[in-house]
Amino acid sequence: MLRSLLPITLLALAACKGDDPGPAATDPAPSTSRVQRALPKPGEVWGRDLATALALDEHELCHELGTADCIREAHRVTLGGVEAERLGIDDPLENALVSAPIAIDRVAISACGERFDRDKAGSPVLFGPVLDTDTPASRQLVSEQLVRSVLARHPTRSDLDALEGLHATLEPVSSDLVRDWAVGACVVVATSTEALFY
Amino acid sequence: MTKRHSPSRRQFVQGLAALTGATAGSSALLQPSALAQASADPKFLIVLCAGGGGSIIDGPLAIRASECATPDLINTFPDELVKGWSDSPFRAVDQSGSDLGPIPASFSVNPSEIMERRRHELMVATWTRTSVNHAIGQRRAITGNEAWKGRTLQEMVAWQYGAEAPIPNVHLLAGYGFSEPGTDNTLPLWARGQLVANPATWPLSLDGAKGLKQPMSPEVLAAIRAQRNDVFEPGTRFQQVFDGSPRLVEWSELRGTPQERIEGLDLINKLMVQPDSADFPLADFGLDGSPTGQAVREAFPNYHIDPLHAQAALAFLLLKYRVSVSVTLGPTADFIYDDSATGGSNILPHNSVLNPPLAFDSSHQGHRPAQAVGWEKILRAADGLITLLSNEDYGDGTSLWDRTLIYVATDFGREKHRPPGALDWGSGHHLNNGVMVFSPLVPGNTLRGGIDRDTGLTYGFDPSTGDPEPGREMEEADIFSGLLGALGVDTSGSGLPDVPAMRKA
Repeated sequence: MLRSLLPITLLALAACKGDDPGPAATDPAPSTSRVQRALPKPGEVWGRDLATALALDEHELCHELGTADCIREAHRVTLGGVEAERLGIDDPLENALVSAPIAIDRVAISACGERFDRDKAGSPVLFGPVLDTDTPASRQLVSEQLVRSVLARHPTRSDLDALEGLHATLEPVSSDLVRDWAVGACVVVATSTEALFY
Repeated sequence: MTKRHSPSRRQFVQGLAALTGATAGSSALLQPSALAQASADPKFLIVLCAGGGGSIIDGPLAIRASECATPDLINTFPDELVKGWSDSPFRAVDQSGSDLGPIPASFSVNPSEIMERRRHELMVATWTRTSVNHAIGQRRAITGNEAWKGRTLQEMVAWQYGAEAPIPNVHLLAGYGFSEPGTDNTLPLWARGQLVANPATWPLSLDGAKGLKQPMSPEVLAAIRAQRNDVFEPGTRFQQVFDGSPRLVEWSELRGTPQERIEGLDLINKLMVQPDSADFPLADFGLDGSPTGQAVREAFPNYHIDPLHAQAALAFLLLKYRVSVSVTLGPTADFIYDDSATGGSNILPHNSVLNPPLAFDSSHQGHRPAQAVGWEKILRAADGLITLLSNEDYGDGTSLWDRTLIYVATDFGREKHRPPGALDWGSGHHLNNGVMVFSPLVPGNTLRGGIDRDTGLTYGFDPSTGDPEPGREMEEADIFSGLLGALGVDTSGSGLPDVPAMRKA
């Protein structure tokens, strides 16, 4: 028993060494799960996580045509929700609907855009660094915060490189690069499989 | 790390065909060349669900009292109410009533108007069902009692004809056995049913960025998605650990070709039945609505309050724009009435009830009005769809209707007896019944089987000649196979009975 706990204790001690470790170096590729059992978060759970990460209320994430709450009304069943009383759907659908990834993108674009617009209009909570000055350093600060708040873990070098890479990718097609990168980086993280499944 | 590529639909089909094609007796349906050919020359299936138990002897096989030995005990109608045609085996009962069972709302129905112009496109085939449980009866209505590996009619049509359609199999009616998925795990992902919970808002889920408060250009969205799919995600430990998880593979597949096709067709506008209005401010969000919106709203004017009208309008658009090859729709179980007709009073005016509660199953409380109003609703939905489809040029001189089949599916029949002389009564479930099929693909103005007018029970037919055979009962697998045959679905190797009598020679 004592021997079996020893590696965990050593790992815990190693993790406690020093302060915030900052971006982790890219680790060696981990082993693939034998069970491969990733399950989708119900839309409402994903939405709650996203709202918390973006410091928004759940009902502020997205409204279709300005009125219908995207997650609880307009795309409720599409996003894995149930509608027992009105439609008799009392279990989430077994397979994802073909429009589900599109609806997810739609909600994330709305929510991330809402956060950006609020940060721009008032006291910023997420995109402040790039609103002050759009540099690689400020984008890294935003990227780190995005991964921490949306995925609840430390960012890796791979994460940061990918999000910084988005800037170059958007440059030829964007007419508002600051906004498109900020909203785009947020959408990338918020709609990644790591954010959508558990 | 090995990156998992999302297979295209064609690759998926080819892989599946290679896998299953080796099995002795497999249907040629799975061969890629056959699928490509079939998708270029599709047939379309509309499953119009008469949920709750639509009784065929309250519809086109109505019995006149004078034809029955014990008319007071059997579900018969006064002779003068039953309209028939000398060239047709079918009837229609135009009737009125002062209430819908316990609901004090008067009604009148006029199905003869529909039958007058549609009987030549109608086939009725009799059958005897195997369950009087709603959910089971509904499911067996679309699987033929699991006649072919548990596949549904909708799945088979989608599989054969939908390889190139963006969303081949759409279910607009939720929560019923008619919309349950089949049980064949080898079915391609794209042929499985896609549920539409709300026809009004569903089109908004068909584009990632159009119609948002702050829309995003397609180029920017494409760049963001590519960076996510190809760079960010593959670098995360989560993706690496769960690489190969069926859920992630499925998600990746949906993000690929299906998404490109859906967004590329501008379906967020084309399928939008709702017009621009204060409640649905499309223009404020940069949306135009469907160019065919006016026509479908005229055909189904209650689209804003009656789910069946909303479903039917969207069903037509799904076929018109070649989004789907199979659509499933039907009345819900909700009690729906037009409150604008009440004028603020507490009295329900004549014909203000658009859907009785529980649809046809309201027959438990009031058989006559539930069946009358139920069939009227089904017939008018079919009539509206046929009108729209007939006016739609397929592009080769034929119309969309020329290659469409409307299968009126129902759970089971209803009891044939009534309390002596009762004008209205509550009826139970009954295995014996028949189905209505509207289509140019079936022998029109034709009854396959027959009816014993003394008992109200239907009997079967010879599957080859169609000759009526008193004493014979058609099984669910017979009708399932007959419908697939009329639609030209390749059933070779399935072991299903051949029923050529149900397809046009």
